[in-house]
Amino acid sequence: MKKSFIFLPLCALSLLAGCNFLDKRPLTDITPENFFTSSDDAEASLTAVYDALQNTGAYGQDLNVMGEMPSDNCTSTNGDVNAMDKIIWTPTTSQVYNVFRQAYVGINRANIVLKYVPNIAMDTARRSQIQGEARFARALCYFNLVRAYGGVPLRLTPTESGAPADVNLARSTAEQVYAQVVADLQRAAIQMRTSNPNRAGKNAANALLARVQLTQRNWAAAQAAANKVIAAGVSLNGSFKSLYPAENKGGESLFEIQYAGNADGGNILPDLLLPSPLATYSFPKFNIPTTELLAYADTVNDRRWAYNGQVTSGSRIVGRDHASYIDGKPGRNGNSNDVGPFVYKWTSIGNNFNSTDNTYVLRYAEVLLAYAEAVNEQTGPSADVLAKLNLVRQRAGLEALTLASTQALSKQALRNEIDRQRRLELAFEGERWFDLLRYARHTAADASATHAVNALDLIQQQRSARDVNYLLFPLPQAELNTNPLLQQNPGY
Amino acid sequence: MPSLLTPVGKHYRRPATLAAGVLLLHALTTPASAQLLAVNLPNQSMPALAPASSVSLKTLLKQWENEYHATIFYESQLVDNKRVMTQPTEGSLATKLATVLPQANLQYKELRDNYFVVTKRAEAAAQTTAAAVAPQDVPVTGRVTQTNGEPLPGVTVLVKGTTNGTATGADGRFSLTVPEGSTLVFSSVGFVRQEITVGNTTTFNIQMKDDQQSLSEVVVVGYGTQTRQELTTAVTSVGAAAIERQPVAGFDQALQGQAPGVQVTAPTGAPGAGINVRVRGNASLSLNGSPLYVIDGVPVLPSYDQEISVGNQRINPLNTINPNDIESIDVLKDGAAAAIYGLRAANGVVVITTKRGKVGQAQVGLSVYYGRQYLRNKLAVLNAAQAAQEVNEIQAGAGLAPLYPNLNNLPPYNTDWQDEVYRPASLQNYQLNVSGGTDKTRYYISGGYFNQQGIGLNSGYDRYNFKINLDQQLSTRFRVGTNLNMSRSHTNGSTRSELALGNSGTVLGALSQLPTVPVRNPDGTYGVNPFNQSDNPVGDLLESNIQAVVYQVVGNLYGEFDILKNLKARSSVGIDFRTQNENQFTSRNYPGTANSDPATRGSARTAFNQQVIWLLENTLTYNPELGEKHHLTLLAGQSMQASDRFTSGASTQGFVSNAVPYLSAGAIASGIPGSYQDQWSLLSYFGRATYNYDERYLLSVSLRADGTSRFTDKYRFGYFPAVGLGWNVAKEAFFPQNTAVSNLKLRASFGANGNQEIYTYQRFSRYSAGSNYQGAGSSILGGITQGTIGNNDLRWETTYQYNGGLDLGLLNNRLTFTFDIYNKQTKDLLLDVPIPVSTGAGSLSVTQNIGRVENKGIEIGLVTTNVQPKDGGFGWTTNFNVSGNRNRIIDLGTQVNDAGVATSRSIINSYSISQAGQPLGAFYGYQVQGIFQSDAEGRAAATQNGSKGRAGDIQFRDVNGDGVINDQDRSIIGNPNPKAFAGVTNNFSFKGLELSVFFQGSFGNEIYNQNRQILESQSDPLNQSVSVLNHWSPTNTNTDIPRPVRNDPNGNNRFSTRWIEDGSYVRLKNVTLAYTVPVGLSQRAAIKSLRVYATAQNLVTWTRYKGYDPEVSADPFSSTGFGRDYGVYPQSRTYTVGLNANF
Repeated sequence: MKKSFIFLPLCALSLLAGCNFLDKRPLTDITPENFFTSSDDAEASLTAVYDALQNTGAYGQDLNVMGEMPSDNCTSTNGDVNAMDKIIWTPTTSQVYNVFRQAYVGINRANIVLKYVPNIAMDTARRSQIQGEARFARALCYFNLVRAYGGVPLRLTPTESGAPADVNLARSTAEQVYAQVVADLQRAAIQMRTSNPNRAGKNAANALLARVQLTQRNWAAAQAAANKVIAAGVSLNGSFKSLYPAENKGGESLFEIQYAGNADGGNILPDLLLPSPLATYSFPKFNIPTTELLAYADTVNDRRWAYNGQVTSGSRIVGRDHASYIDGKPGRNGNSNDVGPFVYKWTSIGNNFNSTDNTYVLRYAEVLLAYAEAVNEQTGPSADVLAKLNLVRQRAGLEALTLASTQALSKQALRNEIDRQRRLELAFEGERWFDLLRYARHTAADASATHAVNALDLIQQQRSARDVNYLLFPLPQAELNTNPLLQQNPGY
Repeated sequence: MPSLLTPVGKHYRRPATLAAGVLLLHALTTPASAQLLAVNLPNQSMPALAPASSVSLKTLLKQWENEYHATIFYESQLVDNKRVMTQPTEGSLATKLATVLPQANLQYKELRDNYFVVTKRAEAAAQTTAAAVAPQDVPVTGRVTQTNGEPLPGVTVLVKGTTNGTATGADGRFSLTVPEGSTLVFSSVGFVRQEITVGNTTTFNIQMKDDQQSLSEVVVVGYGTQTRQELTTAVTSVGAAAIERQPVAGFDQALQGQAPGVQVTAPTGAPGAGINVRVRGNASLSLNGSPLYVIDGVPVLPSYDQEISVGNQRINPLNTINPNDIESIDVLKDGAAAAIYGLRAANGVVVITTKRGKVGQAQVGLSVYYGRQYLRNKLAVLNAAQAAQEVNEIQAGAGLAPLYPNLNNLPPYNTDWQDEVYRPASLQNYQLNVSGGTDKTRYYISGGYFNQQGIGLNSGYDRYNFKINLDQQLSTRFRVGTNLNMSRSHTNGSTRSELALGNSGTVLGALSQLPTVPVRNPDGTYGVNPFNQSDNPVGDLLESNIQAVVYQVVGNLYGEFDILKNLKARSSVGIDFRTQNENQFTSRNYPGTANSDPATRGSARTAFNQQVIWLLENTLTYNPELGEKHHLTLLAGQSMQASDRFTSGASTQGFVSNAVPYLSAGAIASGIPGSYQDQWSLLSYFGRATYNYDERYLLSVSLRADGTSRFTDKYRFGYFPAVGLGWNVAKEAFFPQNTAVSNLKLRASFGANGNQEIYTYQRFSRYSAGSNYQGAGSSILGGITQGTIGNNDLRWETTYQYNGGLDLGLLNNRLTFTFDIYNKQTKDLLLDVPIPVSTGAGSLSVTQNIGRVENKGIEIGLVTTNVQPKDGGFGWTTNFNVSGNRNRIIDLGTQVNDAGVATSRSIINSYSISQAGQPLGAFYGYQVQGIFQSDAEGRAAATQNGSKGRAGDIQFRDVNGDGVINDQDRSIIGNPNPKAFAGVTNNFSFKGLELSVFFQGSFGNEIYNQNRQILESQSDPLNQSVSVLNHWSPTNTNTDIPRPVRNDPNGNNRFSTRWIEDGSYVRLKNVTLAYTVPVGLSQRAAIKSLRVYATAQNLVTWTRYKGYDPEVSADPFSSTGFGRDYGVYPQSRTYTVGLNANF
């Protein structure tokens, strides 16, 4: 029957359809398969990495709170940061979760860039720069994790499948994480050529490497990394006052987190730190300078701390020209929450949790101090050490030290002076608690190397015991609940 | 020998094209059987036959019956296992019979069109009767009717042992001249054969009785049919009568209570809304739990998730079929029955067969009904004076000033909002069909219109549907045909009808709006609650509307070709095509926007969804000849299916006028218009062997391999085997052959089925835009990164089902009993589970195959003929079924608890919990212990809501004993799964009268009455249920209603046992009284038959449930959140009158 032949094509069609027929890919979703084809895609994926650093779980709020609230710099009556302030954090404390969460979001986004961008056909110099920036961001996130939580799962490829084997990863040792951070930063410093005030560059990578090596007490390596920045010809801004708020002023700024305000979600931090006004709302603020800190600082002569009046823009007060301000008068709203010292390294231009103020991550003053510390730890006081330290002191309006100065008479004396300058220079920028942790470990490793105060002193003060377990934050409960391969840090 | 006359076509009550899949074409000859030929040939003078060209006569007759859609009767001993030669002659069946029958010493007679009877050749017959003296011939006449008095055309009337006979005409009459004293044999498919001796009477009124056994004889099993005798699996068939009786929009709703193991709930009374059907429980935790519907061979899975919907009013794509067009519904319940549909069959398969034309002159059928629907019951709420008093007490409880300072000077209104929102509504249905055919062509065409107004203002559903079923015989070996169902349905709804309170929900809005508020203020504006600015439910309904129009085509084209006599190929191309268009408009007068900026008032939204799913299927069916007692059917097939869906939508606002309710009349766009497209595909190969030995030992084995686009290559194909065994004990020689036990069969089966209904692209990592960051200057750079991660390890969720069954027929099948017991184990549940934070994934949950669910249960079906009607007298039949299903979660994987110990995972939703050992959807909340009679009692008890309870507050149980009532004190407080559900239909007939009474019920399920959580909350200035009049006070302490207090400081209204109610009910679902007008009467109006009837639907409901209706669910399509009543559109009570006429 001729008519039967119509069956043959139908059958054949079905049988041959085979594999392609079942291959249906998303049409209206962006996927790794249809993305990553052009330089625009490379740029967009890198932009998302920076976006992760901007988040409130990272530099937008919690990382700063974690770096300052437990320390001797800050206190607060706000319940949201009480656990950080009083060192009573637990695996369910929000900052413990948020910092961990957001660091891994940044790592995953950086891993995405590092997996796919190398295969994109585009300008090779730009491609190398993009990879370098992603490496820098990954290193920054891992460094923040390892110094807060100890060894964490080391994930170097993007999470792209939810299969248990892909998502559950055991902890690496802290040494392994540090090694990865160092490797990433060294590679990033090579890959990054250009200097863009809005983005990480070669100097930022070396500056961060100096911080990382200092944390590991690899003094020579820290010196070498810091020296690369110094040799690159970076210099301090002339005036400390002009540094704040951070607004892409270049020069001393090696890496800062950008906030565009209304156009792209602004910086929340200023409204959490400043009295109202300048902030929109009155409530117990975060990171209130402790009286101990204000007593410690020379609030008369040190330009970083002396009160020289308000900074106005037209008739509007936009800030103070120092890092803290002692004011006995209630704020404009008469609310007691707005009385007392506050942090003024942000000015909250653009209010309602939507400030355009940037946040510094790395600036040259810290590199100088790191260099000084690294060299002092190796060789003790020297002209080289004092030369770098004095740049910072002198900009603050303090006299230059000489080898005859009491602060430079011994390695230990100079160590204390460097500690002091770090604290005063970098106050409220999110580094203090991590410095104190570093000091505690330094003293533990070398009993002769003492610091005026270290994290264990504060743990003793808050918890009435020198509980070394609190030198690490606990892993968040949500991670432990989902990843059966993890062990909690001791003591939690 | 009880029955000598065997109508070959008896089994093929269903359309032949569907039956054809398992046609027993035994004609392939083997050398072994050829050697037996000679003994079958009494005429030795016939030339020797070439063995390869002879075929079994019985097979040949069956084949011809199918080809010509004819009926051929013969006495079985005549045909026996004789073999004949065939010549490749073209031509009519008569020609062929004339060629072939003489070889076997047989002849035929054509009684009427397409009715043939095979007898001995005249000479042979003459020899046997030669000795007898030829009796005198007498003329006999008579009329044959059914039990309901309707005439029965096409009944064969034969003089026993002769070819002398005729068939009844359309009026059931016959006339014949027969030898005196001979016996007349009356036979017709589906009826019990009768023999009458011609004595003195020559006029006969014969009433044919339904053959209970044959009525359920043929079962559509997927790519073919089987007789019930041959069946090894659990299949329930529901006939047209039970479906047509109910005045509902869709057949799925009419299935309720008709089939054991099939739980049907109409979760809402909204016209046209989706119906929830579950076959043997919920086999999945998060995937679509609906059974697969196979409509004329086209699989349709109602995935309500992908329908456009507003306010959870999901449109039901199954409404597209007019129930009047359905011939039968077969529910494949066990794993082995469903396995041939492997993919998507884990929740059972519902096979819908629509009506087809029959050979004969054109039949015209008309059915019409009209009905009125009423709100079934009103809930008792406070009147104006009571409400004002209550509101003041709520204020006073919190130390606040009264809102009605002077109860003697209230606003001059006492609005009954339920009266304002609900109305009696009409229901009407018209359906006209024409069917008929010749031996080459058969057709069934129909058109219908259905219109159901909603009992709520501004709601309704209407549908036009058209149907064409066509079968054409192109040659003796080649057939083509089509089945097409087309419809346009239109749902009219208001924007916000359900599932919310105050400003959004009109059901709860009508209950909770204060009666002191008028429908309209004197100035014509809508009255609103002055204390919390909640809207006016009447205004909400009238000033917003959403029009949804769905066009749908479901159908296929098929071709069938007989490659060999017993090897048949079939190809079909099917389509399931749907467009859905929604236009929503909220007018400038919408009460909720009365205070908005006039420039933004009025809004419109439109959404469009188009989906085409095409299907290509090829099957081969082979029936090897293995001898008389071996019956083997082999099926091999292949299926491809693919879907392409496109959706778009846009909104505008700021309408200067209400005149044009379309997007373009809006001043400004709201949001970014969107569009979306997705595709999926399925590729399947399947095979099945059914074998029985002498209809005593039955075996069925099948395997289906399904590939899906939803999984990666590695896990793409799922393999779904099945095996079924059966033993017809009653056919064994040792079994007493009497009518007391007429049928006894044991069945056992195992089958595996798959489920892959996750989001189409779930396995892919998907990226999203919006991770932006500041670039140079003030520019913003767009960032794109991973939003959700996929899972390349996803694979089939698989259900393994074991079934054991017993079929019993007693008293010549006057009582048939079916019992099934099953155990369904669903493994590799596709479930969203949280993943480690350290993945850095944008969304910290991912779909994994994790956990197991079990459903097990029993089903009992009983059909009895309690009174056999005699001569059109009183008759009574009962159809009863009851089912019990228990489901529980066996495993949900593990999670590490806060103590660092790996424990089984619990997933807690807002009011339910999924936990190993518990049923799906278990309610999870607080336990009420009582009411504090004094502040001191409250102080002595645990802290609740951060403070101590006061006198009149509820005391909740401190489950963990830590002195604080918090999340940790929740426990399982209820089970929304029924322990049993049942249906019973009684049919009474007397003369032309027929009364059908259908009860249906659900037992042991609990309902979370969230409406009461508002109406007895006593915490806001809203109207309350009358039960709050009995609230606690120092002088009324013996009560379970706590004190009124604004803002509920103690959390008295938290989700607790207080809101859990027994949802058991028994409902007189349907009562139908019908009268078939005597033919003599109707024929005067040129009507062949006329049946008029009156029906009451949802007439009486017996329940303790306090809400509108116990058949309710606010989240009907969730497997873990069902059984909640929250602002759900109430069910109506419906009275209809109608008629069915045939011309």
